[in-house]
Parts: sequence; structure tokens; C-alpha cells
Amino acid sequence: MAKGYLTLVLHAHLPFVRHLDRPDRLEERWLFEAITETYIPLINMFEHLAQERIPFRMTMSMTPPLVQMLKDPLLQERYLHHLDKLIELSERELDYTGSQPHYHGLALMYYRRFRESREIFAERYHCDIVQAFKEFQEAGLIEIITCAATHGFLPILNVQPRTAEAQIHVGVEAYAKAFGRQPNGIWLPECGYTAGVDEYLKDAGIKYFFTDTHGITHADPVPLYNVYAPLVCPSGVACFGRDEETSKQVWSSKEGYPGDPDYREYYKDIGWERDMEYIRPYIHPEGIRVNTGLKYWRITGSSEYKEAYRPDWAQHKAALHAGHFLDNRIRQIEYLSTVMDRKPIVVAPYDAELYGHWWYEGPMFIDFLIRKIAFDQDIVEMVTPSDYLEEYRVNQMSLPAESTWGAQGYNAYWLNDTNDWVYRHLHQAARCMNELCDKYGHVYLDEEDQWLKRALNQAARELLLAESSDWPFIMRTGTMVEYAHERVHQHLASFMQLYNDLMKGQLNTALLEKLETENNIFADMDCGKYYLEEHVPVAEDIITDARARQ
Amino acid sequence: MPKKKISKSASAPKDTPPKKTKTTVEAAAAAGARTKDSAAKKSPDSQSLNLYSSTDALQKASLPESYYQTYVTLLSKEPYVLYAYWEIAGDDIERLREAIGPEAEQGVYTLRVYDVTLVDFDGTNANYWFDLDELFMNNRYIHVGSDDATYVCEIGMRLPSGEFKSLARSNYIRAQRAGASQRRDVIWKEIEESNQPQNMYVNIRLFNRQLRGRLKPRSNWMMDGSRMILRADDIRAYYQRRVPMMKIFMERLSSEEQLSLEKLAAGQIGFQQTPDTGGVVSRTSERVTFLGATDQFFRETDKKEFPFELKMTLTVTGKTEPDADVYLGNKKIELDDKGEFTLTWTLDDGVLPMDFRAWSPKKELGKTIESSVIRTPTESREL
Repeated sequence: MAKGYLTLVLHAHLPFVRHLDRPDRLEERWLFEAITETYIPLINMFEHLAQERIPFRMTMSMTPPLVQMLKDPLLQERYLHHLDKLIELSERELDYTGSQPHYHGLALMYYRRFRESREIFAERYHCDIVQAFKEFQEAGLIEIITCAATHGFLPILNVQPRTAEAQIHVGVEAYAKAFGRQPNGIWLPECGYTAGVDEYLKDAGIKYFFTDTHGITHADPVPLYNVYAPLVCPSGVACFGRDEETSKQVWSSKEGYPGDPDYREYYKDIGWERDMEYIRPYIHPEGIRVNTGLKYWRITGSSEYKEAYRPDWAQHKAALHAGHFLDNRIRQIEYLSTVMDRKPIVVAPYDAELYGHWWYEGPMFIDFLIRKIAFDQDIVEMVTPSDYLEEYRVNQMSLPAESTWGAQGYNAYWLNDTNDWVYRHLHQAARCMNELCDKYGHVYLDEEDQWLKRALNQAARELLLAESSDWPFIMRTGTMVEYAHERVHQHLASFMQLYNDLMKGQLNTALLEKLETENNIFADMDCGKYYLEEHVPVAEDIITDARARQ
Repeated sequence: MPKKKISKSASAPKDTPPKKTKTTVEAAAAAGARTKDSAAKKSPDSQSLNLYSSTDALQKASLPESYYQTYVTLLSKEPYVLYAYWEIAGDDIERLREAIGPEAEQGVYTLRVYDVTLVDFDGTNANYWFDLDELFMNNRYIHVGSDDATYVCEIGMRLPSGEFKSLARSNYIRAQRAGASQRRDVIWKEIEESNQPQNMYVNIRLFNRQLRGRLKPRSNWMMDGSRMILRADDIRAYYQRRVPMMKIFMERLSSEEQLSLEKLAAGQIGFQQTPDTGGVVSRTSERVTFLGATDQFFRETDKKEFPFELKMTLTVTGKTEPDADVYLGNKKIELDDKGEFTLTWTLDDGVLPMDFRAWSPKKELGKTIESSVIRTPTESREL
């Protein structure tokens, strides 16, 4: 009988990057790299574990923009092309590295991996890998939770409550359409909690969310069990806190596992190493060097000098680290179980893209961890938050503290002199959206004016896209800043154009159709209705419809 | 609490016209006015749409410099730092200057920040406020003295007389808590099934010591291990103040509309242990968390309340031999010369057990009359 629980949460998110007009936008590569290096390896791992009947429970948040991109035929087609180019490159690499046994072996490893990825992506799941995760959920292996519609940063958006509320409701409806059921939990974008958000969650039928450690430890009143048991907000929605120790072991660049010298080096890629003429067909058409995903070196040390990657060494390290991680959880849980009246739960959330994309051996680490939990001990058991709430029906009530998982733990990363200018415009646009709905909201009740409804929905989409927390985040990090500016400007300008047209009563249908095709996120949803004072909740029939279609 | 007034502006002599500030704000407004036509602005209402096909592409995206409105918005960056952005429309400046008259020449545009923690703010009753006069930009970061406090700000003009003419008031914002809470109450809450009210309670055992101290000599009037069911009002009161739950609860007991503590003790009042009435319903935290500033901050929710109240008074009259001993619970009841007594209660929700015991003067005979009164309201429901 287990003495406590471990909840692994992988937060899979990318901003909506789909550029209809140009297939060569570098930003779409974010998605392609994540598919190859994170999502497909995870699918592969889940499949193997399932085939071997190894019990595990994991929690994954798949954000609506990510799901929408993964289900988008254009991006699927582009990804397939990208993957074919990768296979082609790895084939050429087999020749290129023919005389270097180490590197040749690595080229072969990549070649096989890419072929396997193609098999999984194109043959097994017909280019829709959301379907794969859905099946794992239905098989009871993972629990998928949702996120706000476009990963909007709620602590600041909430100045306009309707816009924050719409973020939640659109996220829930998008989930229901994709997964054919209501989500139990939500990942609040950037782990950003502010009082009142839990009320929106409750309205949307969400049972739990996560906060950073101090969201729980600074809660009012003080939590009895620190982060090792959930709190229930006065609204009735439960809140699980991140365990700092667990996070640090994986996240920290100094103390964390991914920095081990035997692991693969992320920053040295053949895209930057090969001759331009050789590599040109596999980088940006304008000759801009990019990461290709073929990396032959290990971290080695902190200097520029890097040695060849040794997959067997890396595998050995991943097993050791999984063992170390589990040992620590066992000790932690053994202690906690002596001082608590219930089984402790250790919540370990990570960005999914850390596993595989940044930390190449990450999925292997999880694989080892799951196997060790299943076979090597009986102190720790993996559960999802839903499982825990099912077991413990009575929890301490407290109001979580306002917090995020950004640097310093508050809003500073998304509100500073690099990005604060955004909010004036976002809030103004949110006010305008409310105005539009107050004026034209009746279109959601009668079906007469399809153009008007389409315009309202597209206005909502443009607003949602402008609200993504990724843009202020990118502005703060200082890389790709221009892109973030461009996106915020464009979506807000499109929104204002629609707003002005609608308020003047002169709808530019050509523009509307253009925007609908370009920014087609939530294309099959009435996004605008969630900005109504009294919006229509996600109905059971949406779920039924989704089930019928799938 | 004594009101502190802190002004961060340099104390300028009265007769110095604050040209710089005024010029900046007004110049910005005037600059905005010049480009007014090109920016987003409400157009006349029109319910019907004129559809036309146009190939007009979006012009190169640019955001308006001004929205031609007067507003101020307050955000929280971290526990001791807020951020405000604002705009003053040219028309509003004109209107303000007209309203003030010649004195406006010496007025200073200012951002006034109020600490309204635990206050239902009406514009005059802030815990303290301070002015920030340098409105050179249309936004700024504001360092404040307290974390976990509620703030609101206004933009307007401060006149030499000290009077402040407000142009716009911001939203309410709470600076995050920088450390652990001081309250250690352990309140339990059941996970809700669908939309049924959830049971929320405190284990009485934890409170017994405090209760005993206050309710001498009735040591045993509550059952050990029983639960004190909390109501939505208790939770609301809890988050509108910073006192322990015990205090909230004791105040509830001793409020005018409740049974007094004395009567409680005398009547051996138990606490309901079923969730049917006392369960806390949803929609509590939105009203409770902003500590006094909630009504302004949150829009009205869709919860429908149906006004239906009952004030019930219960009068018990009794008669026995003048020298007999009559007890309600463990409290002795005073009889008049004829051996009669009258007791009156204002009835509250819940169960009020009333067990009367009487003994003949020489304690030869005794008689007990057990009774209880139950009052069970429900939340407003849609039929």
C-alpha cells in the first residue's frame, strides 16, 4: 500500500503560430521541433508502457492553441514536409559521417528516429497526434487538462473580468471539442492565479488548478500540510501547489539533471556546423542558419569544447537520475506520511517541451521513473489530481495567494518596462469587445445575421490571439522581440478594424474572410458569445457532438 | 484609525504655477485631438449592417496613441509595486477647467493613490493616500508601503486650497501577499457534487478551550468532535477582516439578531450537523477577497437572490410552584412570585433544543419537558 502520491504534470504549450501566406516562417519551426522532439517521443513512450502493461498515471495540459495547431491541416502538411526534409538530411548525414564511427552511429540514430516519427505521425495517427493523447486519456493512462484559450495572463487580464472569463470558457469549449469530454482541471497560464479566477473556473465546471509553491504556502489561512495536500478555495475549486524541491531537481541549470555532462548538448547543431552549400536546403530559404535537430555532441562542460554524444552513457545517466529522483520522493513521502492525517501528494509540474526538446533524454528519464515506480518500490504511487480528490473528499479551505511561476513569483515577468505598454491596448480592446457584444449579442440568439455573427467571432479571435502571454514573455526575454510586437500589433489592429466597421455598421466582408482564413484558431466555435454578460455555458451537446464526430 | 496623508510631491509654494505638469498633460491631450479622426472612436449606433465587399487590406498595423477617453487603470506587479496607466481626454480637461474657474491655473494634475484595505471606499474614507504629481508620462510604477493591501487611484487636479477634483477612478487592485498569512484557522470543506452547496465546517474541538474561557461555567455545552457548520456569511466576514474565525463566529453568536451568548449557554444549544442549511454556497470568494472593495471591483454576478425574510420570535411561558427550581439546560430560570416565567428568543436558522427541567421545592419530584425548534431556510433556487 503506497504511503503517498506523485503527480507529474507536463504543460504542453506553444503560441498560435500559423502563417498562411509564408511557409518559411521560423516561428512555425517551434511547433515542428516540439512535435519531433517532445510530443512524438512521449507518444512513443506511452505506447510502449501501455503495451507492456506498466501502470502509470500522468497529467498533461495541452493548451488550446497547441491543440488547434496540431489539428490544423495546413500545419500538418507543412510538418510532414519538414519531417521529410529531416529524413533526407539524416540520410545525407549517413554518407557525410561515413568515416567517423561515433558520428555515423549518431546520424543513424537520428535517421531511425525520424523514420519512426514519420510512421507514428503519418501512418498511425493520420497526422492528428491529438488523437493519440486522447486515446491515452481514454485508456486511463493520462489525464489531459485544459488551459485558457490563448494562454492569456489572467492576473492582468482580469482587470476586464469578461475577457478573463472568456479565456477560460473558450479554453473549456475547445477542450470539449477536441477530447469529447469536460476537462476536470486547468493549467492557469504561467501558473498565474488571482482571486476571483477560481470563480470563473467553477462556472466553467473545472474542479482543480495549480499554483506555484507560494500560492499555497502564503494562502490565507495558513495551509496545514504545506503543498502536500490540496486546498479548496471558498468557491469550491481545489488548488494543488508545486513542490519546489521536486521542481528544482529537474529545472535548475546548476543542480538539475539536464545539465549533466553526458547529456546531449542543445546549443550545438549541425545547422550551424556544416558548410553553407551542404546545409542550405535544410535551413531557412534565405540562408539563415537554424537548428536542424541533429546534434552530435554532449554537454561535456561549460566551455565551448564539446565531445561526441554517447547515447549509452546518456541512457545510463537517465536511469541513475530517475533512481535518484525516486529515492528522494520515497524519503520525502515516508517522512510526510508520518506527520499528515492523509497521504501526501507531491506535485511536480514542468513545461512539456523541457522533455525531449531542451532535455533530449527527458522522455527516457520519465520512462525509467515510471518503470521504477511500478517495480522497485511500494511507497510512492502515481496519481492525477482527479484521483486524489476522488479519494479525499474533505480538504482544507483556504484562499490561495496571488502568484505565478515566473521569476520572483509574481507578475514582474509579464509586467515591466519591456512589455507594460501592451496592457493599455489589450484592456481597451476588451472594453470594445464588451461593447460589441452588448450591441450585437442578440446574433447568438437568432440565426439570421450570419455575417454579423462571423464578425463578432473573428473579433473575439483577434482579441484572444493578442492576449497570449507569450508576447509579453518574448518581449521580456529579448529574443524574437520584433515578432511579438508584430503579432500584438496585427491582432489588435485587426480587432480595431472589425470593431470600427461593426460600430459604423459597415462590415468589410473581404477583410473578414481574409482574417478568418489567416487566423483560424477556434474556427468552429462561437467565441464571441463568451463576452456576453450572460453567456451560454458549454452545453452537453457540444461534447455529444464531438463524440459523435470522433 | 487616524488618517495619514502622505504627499510625495514636493511642497511647492502656493503661488507657483505648476506649468510643467499641466503643460505635459494638456499637450498630450491636444496632440491626441489632432489625430482624433484616424483612431478608434465610437461611431453612431446602427443596428443594421451595410455589407460591402472591399479589398482594402489592413494598413500597416499600428496602435493608436490615444483613445480619447479619460481613465486610469491600476495593476499589481509584485507585493510592493503597482503599475498605473492613464489618459486624460482633451474635452475633460476643458470641462474641468471651466468647472473650477480661475483657480485651475494653479492646480496640479496628480495621481492620487488610496490604500483602501478593509474599507468600503466612498471616496473619503481611505486608510491613507498619497499624491504623485509628475504626470509626464501616461504610466508609471508606484512603490507602496504594504503588501496584501487594497489600492485604488484617481487622476485629477489638486487645487492650492488642497481640494482634489477627480477626473477618473481606477479599478481596485490588491498588492500580493509577500509572506505567510497570520491566520491559522483550520476550516474544512467538502468537495462538491454537481452544484449542491458544500459543507464547510470547523472542528469544534479546536475551539473548545477558547469557548470555555468565555462561557463560564458551562463546560460541556457543545459536543466534542462535532462540527461547527459555517455559512456563506461567516466566510464572507472572515475574508472581509483579518481576525480568526473564532472571533467571527463569536460575533455572529452575540449579534443582536442571534441568540445572546447567555441564552445560548443556558439553552444548551447544539450546532446543526447536517449540511442542508448551513452549507456554504458558491460565489463567496469574489465578494470576500478584495476586502471591502469588492462591490466596485466585481460586476454583479448572475446569482439571483429572492428577498424573503422571516423574523421569528419565540416566547415560552411557564408556571410551576413559586419555590420550585426550573432549569433550561444548566441555567436556572428566575420565577416570579406566582411561580411563572416568560422567556423570549429571536429565532435563528438551525436547531434550538430546549430541554426544561423542574424540581419541586424539596427535590422530591422532578419533571422534564424536552422540545426543540428547527428553522431551515434554503438558498434561492430557480423553479
